[in-house]
Amino acid sequence: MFKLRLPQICTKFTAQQCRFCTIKEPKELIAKDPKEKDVVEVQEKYDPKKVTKEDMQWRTPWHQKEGQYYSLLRTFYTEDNKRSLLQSLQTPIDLSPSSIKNWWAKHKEQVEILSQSYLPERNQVLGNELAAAHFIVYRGGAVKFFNQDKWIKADENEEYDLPRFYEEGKILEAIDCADMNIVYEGLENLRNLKKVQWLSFNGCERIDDWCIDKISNMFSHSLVYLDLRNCPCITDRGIGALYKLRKLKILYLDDFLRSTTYEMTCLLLEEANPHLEIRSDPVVFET
Amino acid sequence: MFRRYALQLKPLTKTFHTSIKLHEEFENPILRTIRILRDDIMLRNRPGRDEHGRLVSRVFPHYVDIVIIGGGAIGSSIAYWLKKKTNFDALRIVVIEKDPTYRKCSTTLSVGGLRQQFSLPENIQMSLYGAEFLRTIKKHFGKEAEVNFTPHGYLVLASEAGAEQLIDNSKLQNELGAMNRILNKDQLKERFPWMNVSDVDVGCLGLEKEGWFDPWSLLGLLRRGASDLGTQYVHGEVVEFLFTEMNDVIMDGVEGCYEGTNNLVVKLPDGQRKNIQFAACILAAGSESGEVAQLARIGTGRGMLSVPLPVEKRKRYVYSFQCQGEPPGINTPMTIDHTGMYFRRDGLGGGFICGMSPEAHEEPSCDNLDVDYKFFDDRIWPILAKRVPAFEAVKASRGWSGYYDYNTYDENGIIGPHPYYQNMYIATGFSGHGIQQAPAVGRAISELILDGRFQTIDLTRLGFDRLIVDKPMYEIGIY
Repeated sequence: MFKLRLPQICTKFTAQQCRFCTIKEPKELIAKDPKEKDVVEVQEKYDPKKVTKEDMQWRTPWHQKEGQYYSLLRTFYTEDNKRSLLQSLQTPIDLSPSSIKNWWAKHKEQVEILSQSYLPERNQVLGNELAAAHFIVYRGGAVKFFNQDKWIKADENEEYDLPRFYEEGKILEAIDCADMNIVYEGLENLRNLKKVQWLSFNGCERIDDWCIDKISNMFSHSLVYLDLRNCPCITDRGIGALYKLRKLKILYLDDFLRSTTYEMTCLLLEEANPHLEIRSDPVVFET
Repeated sequence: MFRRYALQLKPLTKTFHTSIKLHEEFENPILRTIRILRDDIMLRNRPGRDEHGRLVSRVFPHYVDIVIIGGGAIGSSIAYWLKKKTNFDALRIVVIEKDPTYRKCSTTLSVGGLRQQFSLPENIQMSLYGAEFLRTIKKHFGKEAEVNFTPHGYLVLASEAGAEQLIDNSKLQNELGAMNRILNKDQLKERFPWMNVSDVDVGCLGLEKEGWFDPWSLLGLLRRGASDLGTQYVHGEVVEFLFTEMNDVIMDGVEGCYEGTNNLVVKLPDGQRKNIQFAACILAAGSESGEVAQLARIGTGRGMLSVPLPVEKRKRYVYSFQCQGEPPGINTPMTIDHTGMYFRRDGLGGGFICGMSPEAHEEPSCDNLDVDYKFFDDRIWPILAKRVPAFEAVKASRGWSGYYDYNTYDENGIIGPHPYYQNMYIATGFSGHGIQQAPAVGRAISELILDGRFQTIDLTRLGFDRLIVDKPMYEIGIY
């Protein structure tokens, strides 16, 4: 039915004289070694940017060939094949209580992540420091600025006193995220802060090793005090990454005797950073 | 009197002739309707599944929609994504794995490095997605899923010759969303006092989403995830493709009649040969892809088919050693030297693992998996001892070997459709960085098949077409 014309050899294909089966050793093209440089100098320096997507299309699409064109019906044709719609139509409806519960939990999680995600507009209006302060205080945390003695925290009516536009000289000194439901995506709002010295994630259950990875990079230049108590998701692997916080002096952990590797990591951390003191709450043994 | 008795008996006898079955308990018809509807809704009674909803049918699949050759990390990831993007019964997917113990799989060799430090934007994006996937792995595979990610960073060192390139690469990586920083000689010395930086010019330290993880866990999770969603794994080896002439297919660049394949022969471990008819085939056989491709006439035919799949088996070693005395402490990222030697901490007690790619002229033979300890003593140890003075007296205590799926053309993955076959896709040749890219590759191939084109990361430049137009995609300054 679709036999429109005789099989033909692609003209472009033969015209380009593609070299089949010529597999070169990669080192021929790249000047990795200074000794090889003299030999390779004749050749152009290899740059992957010169290889474009269009190069890969060596066959002329059917409609671009001479005498061929798309019919008018093409107007109604969409490239998007609505796969996800098809999938949801084909999925049987599951109304069991557990699946509804799962769906609701998933939905809430998505909303939470979306509400905490980084908004460039907020940072453009307020500047990084104030934007971070608004982000934290609005969600129930507390912040403290340099040259100010009081902590700023939302009152029972969820009102708080923070400048609504950029102000010069407002630099965060301390951030208290205790018992906040802060997620990995939300930490992006705390990036590029100048001098945060005091940081507490006490009781944040969503803080895991990946968050620690991010925190240890973002505050590596300034942080002195870090509180990671009551964060059940953090393991010794995450604690080990705190070596990146070079100015850290006090680190609060749950109970660093809970496993050998955990304790060992703490010891190695103190060894790598002689100023560091790792503290924990006094352990209560159940009798 | 008898009549009276008879009258009394009459209703008694009548009951024996009704349609009520006495061996079954009576069920209220309304409740019965509700029960059946409830079972339908709760998907209990679907055929071929146990009470957990897993596939129990283990009949050999003769007719499938998609067959994936190779059940390693890449193959399992493709199966997982194809299944995830469709519903349970939509696609019948079969993965053919030669060795379910994965003894010769490239994953055995992987030290699980996670990094975004590449020079090709495609590779950087794939690795960024790999990190994202590992971070959200609990959403994919349940609360118990864990890949033991160790966020200790990734340090790439460059000598004077490679310094400029490393800085350029770092710029590109940061533009695309990776977090890394160029450190000069003094900064390196200050941060990593255990290192000898005399011949190092700059280093690039990955700050976020870089480190290492457990590749075995990822492989296991991908495989379990795929089979939970209904993928069937077949233990066997592909020995033949059956071809049919299709006169009604007209294709550019094809001389003569198009010969397609919809049928392959699998040799089971007990020697039986069975056919599988498929609609689409995905070649993800890792280090053996080259041989499987030859079965499909890639590299042995004419025209487009004369271009072979340039993926070869290459044996690589990983050694572990114990450092006595003062080993580099916790501030040791995974480090790649400018000679291509890499090492990372393994545990906290001064254990390390290291490896290196040999030069082209000293490639070991791939006949067996024996470990050559001489290679450690002759090649790796001198570099190791020079870079880290504390490693002066180390000896390889243990070593293992495995096969890389080495792309001899440009050492990068080949991802995408084969230009000749309408129904064959290739995902192989990752030359050593496959495991961290497996999630992204699986997603990309599933997009190609289900959506018709790449939706998230555009991997067109890494397709098979680059072999035909002879435009290699090299990594520059990356080992």
